[in-house]
Amino acid sequence: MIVLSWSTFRERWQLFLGALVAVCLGVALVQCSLLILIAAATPQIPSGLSYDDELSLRSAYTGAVSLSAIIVVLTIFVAVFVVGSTFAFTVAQRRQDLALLRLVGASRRQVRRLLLGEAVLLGVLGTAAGVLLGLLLVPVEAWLFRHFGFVPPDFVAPWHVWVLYVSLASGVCMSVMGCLAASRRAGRVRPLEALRDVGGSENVMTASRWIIGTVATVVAAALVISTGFAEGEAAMDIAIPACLLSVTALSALSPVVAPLVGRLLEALSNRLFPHSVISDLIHANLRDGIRRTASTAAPVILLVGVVVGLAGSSSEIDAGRREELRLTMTADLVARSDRPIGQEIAATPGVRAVSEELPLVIEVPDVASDGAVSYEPAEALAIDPVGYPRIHQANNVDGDWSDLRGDAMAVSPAYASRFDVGPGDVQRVRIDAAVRDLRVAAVLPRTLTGPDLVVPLTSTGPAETERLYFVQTNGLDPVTFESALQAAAGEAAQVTVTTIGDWTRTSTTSQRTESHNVILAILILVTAYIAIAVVNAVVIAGADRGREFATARLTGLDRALVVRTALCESLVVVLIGTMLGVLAAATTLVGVAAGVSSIVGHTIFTVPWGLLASTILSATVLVSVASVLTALARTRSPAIEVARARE
Amino acid sequence: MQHPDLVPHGGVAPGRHAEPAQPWASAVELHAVTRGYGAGEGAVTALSEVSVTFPRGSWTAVMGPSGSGKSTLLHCAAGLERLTSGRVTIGGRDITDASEKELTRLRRTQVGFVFQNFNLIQSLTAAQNVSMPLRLAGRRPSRRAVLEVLGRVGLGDRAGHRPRELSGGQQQRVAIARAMVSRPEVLFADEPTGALDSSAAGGVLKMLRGMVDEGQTIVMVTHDPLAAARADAVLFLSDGQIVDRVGRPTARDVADRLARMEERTTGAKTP
Repeated sequence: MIVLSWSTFRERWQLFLGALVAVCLGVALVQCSLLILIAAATPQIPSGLSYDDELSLRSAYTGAVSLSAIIVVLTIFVAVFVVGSTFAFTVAQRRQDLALLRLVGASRRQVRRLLLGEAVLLGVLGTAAGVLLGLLLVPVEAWLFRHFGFVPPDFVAPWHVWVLYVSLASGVCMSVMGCLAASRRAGRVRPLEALRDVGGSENVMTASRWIIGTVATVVAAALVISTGFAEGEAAMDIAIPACLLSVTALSALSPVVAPLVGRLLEALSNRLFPHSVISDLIHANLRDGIRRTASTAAPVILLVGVVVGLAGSSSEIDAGRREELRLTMTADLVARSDRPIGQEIAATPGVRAVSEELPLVIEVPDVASDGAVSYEPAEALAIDPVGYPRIHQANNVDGDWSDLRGDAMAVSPAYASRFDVGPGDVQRVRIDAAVRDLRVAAVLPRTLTGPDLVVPLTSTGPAETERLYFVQTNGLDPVTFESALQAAAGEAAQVTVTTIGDWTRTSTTSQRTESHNVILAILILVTAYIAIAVVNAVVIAGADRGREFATARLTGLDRALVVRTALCESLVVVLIGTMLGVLAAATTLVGVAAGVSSIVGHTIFTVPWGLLASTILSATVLVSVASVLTALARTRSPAIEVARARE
Repeated sequence: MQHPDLVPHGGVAPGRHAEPAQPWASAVELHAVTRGYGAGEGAVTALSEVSVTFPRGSWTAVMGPSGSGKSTLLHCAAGLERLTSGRVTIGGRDITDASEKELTRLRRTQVGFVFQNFNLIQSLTAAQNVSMPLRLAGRRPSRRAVLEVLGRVGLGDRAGHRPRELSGGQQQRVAIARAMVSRPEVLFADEPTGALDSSAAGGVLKMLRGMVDEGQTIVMVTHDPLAAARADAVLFLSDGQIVDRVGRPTARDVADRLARMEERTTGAKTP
């Protein structure tokens, strides 16, 4: 059997190359994300840093860990998806070969063993290539992390030998898992199929597709509904699995769903091109090759669903943040200073209210299951309890701002439930390396922008860090105000004043850049991988069509027309994949929008049109080029030779 | 040369439960075999109550217009298709309700196939193709044994060639060698000369004749009166039923009968 595996391998290398590329890239990406994850989880904190600097560095690494964890999960999902669908497709393309083997006496088990043997061979070869490629990718991903500011500039991800075993195991596992269902199906290939072309009778919509599709639909629906009740960041955490499950559901069900969309498009093109033979041919081919249509559409669904779903969710949350700030903030000017100037601002004529705010990091306890307590950094805000509520119209505070004095703090609902505390309870935290027991004065309302922990300004030591003053005036000019403050604070002070409009823009922009960076960092490598998978599927789909193209040419189509037909077919498949991908993304977006809207108080729904357009455009370009090149390659020799020779 | 006449069923119908294979038993028997496709209004009956015996060491050609059920007859006799009703025995063993495992064993040991399109595995050499059935059965044929089988079809010097490096006639001879390597009870051939030019076809037919003369049973579906004339007997099928049989056929006789059948069917359809 090994001889047969190897010789088939040599013979149909185009088909296997596709599977090999899928495994190789999958292994490379998983390995590299894993190395980054390990490096971020065990950071080298340089000695001699101040306590605050070390804390903020650790806080940055915590963010990098959760980011790379998301990337690892996403990468594994995409790799399993791509490898699985590629293997299933290559097996489907070889049905007749396998039937022939059955005819000359191969048992079902032998056919299964043959395919699993090939999967192991591919897994090993793909892993070997993937490990090497992964080595090259680590600096790229580390650079991305540094570039987007998740890790300090001197961040490096060291190599661990054990990653080799993980890569080998994951590569072989992915290949074998991807092949398992396909090989079971192949074992059921009837010998008679070698004699008759019964491609049409093959049941594409298998039981396992129904089961996966139904389960994924149900779970995705449950998740989408629950995003409606989640808070900002938590909604994003649910949005990712919801998006992946929607994509899984739609691609599993695509043999049923794709023809429906195809029929819709057929009706449309019949209206547009009533007498076009080519249009008829395209739709007939699509209807005939449901397996091909579904397999080519799957990576397009993944591409559009993941990119638009995830990036759209993040921009939805950003829109919510902007809207929330607009609704709750009553300040019209923002002053920044390197020293306390609260008195000076309050004394300036025309100032109605002022809120002094100082961002800081507080360490909160994390109790492990064995009772051991460790501290992790959380972002907090030190405020002036009198001014803050006058500037920030925070409704529904459970507790009283005036209680926020001395050893007290206010917490967000998320932290309240995490600590299991309410107003009046005491919670232990660490501020400036000192353990403090703080009384919970209030539980803040659910917000997208709000701080998680709020302490009174007095409870923090005097720091040289930048202070922010949100000022409500009766229409003071920022330039006049700035010079007045500068005069009052003295020459040494550095004071800048901006309008709240400018500040909101830069502030939300900086938040926006951050979350967009996250999405970009997550997506860049994964998107590249999916894009290659799209090309892969097109090439595999075209690999077997030489005879069909030859027949079409003998029927009277010239080569250019055959290539054009193949191109149009691929474009229709892209369209089908895009529509299903948008459907997957839309369900995710609706869930996130519901969550964001319920927090902000009114409906906010944004569509990432630019991203959607560029995703569709790149998918179209990729598929067009791949499809034209494949069709050209398959029509290179004269039609009559191809039609005469048996493939 | 043996020229056994086909034994028509009716008078000499063997028992439904065949005895263990006897040296004189027939190679393949079909008892009232019916094969239908589909259900409801679109239902088609490809074979209708066909009973026929293919004696050991005989070469039977099956002929008939397109859609007459000749391929279905071959597939049913070879255990490739399930019957709607009726029974099939090969070498005295009833295979009607055989499990997939038993059918696999049957294909390895008792039946061989030759097709119009050769159906060789393109990635394997001639020798590897020939040894495939034995290897699948878990045996390790010696290189000499494989070369001997190839030598018998006149391709001893082509063992290392891949199918695409061989002519059509050569490919078909490799396919015959592959089918014969397990010394099957019966060789099923579906248009074995259909894709060959006349001289290559002549070579293949001569080879089949030689095999039959050494005691091989062959059941062959064909369109070609010249091919049918080399057989011991010809069965004519129309609308899923055996309508005629001829022993010691000549090409002219076969062609005439085919023409008359075509006339009858077209005549019946356009009165």
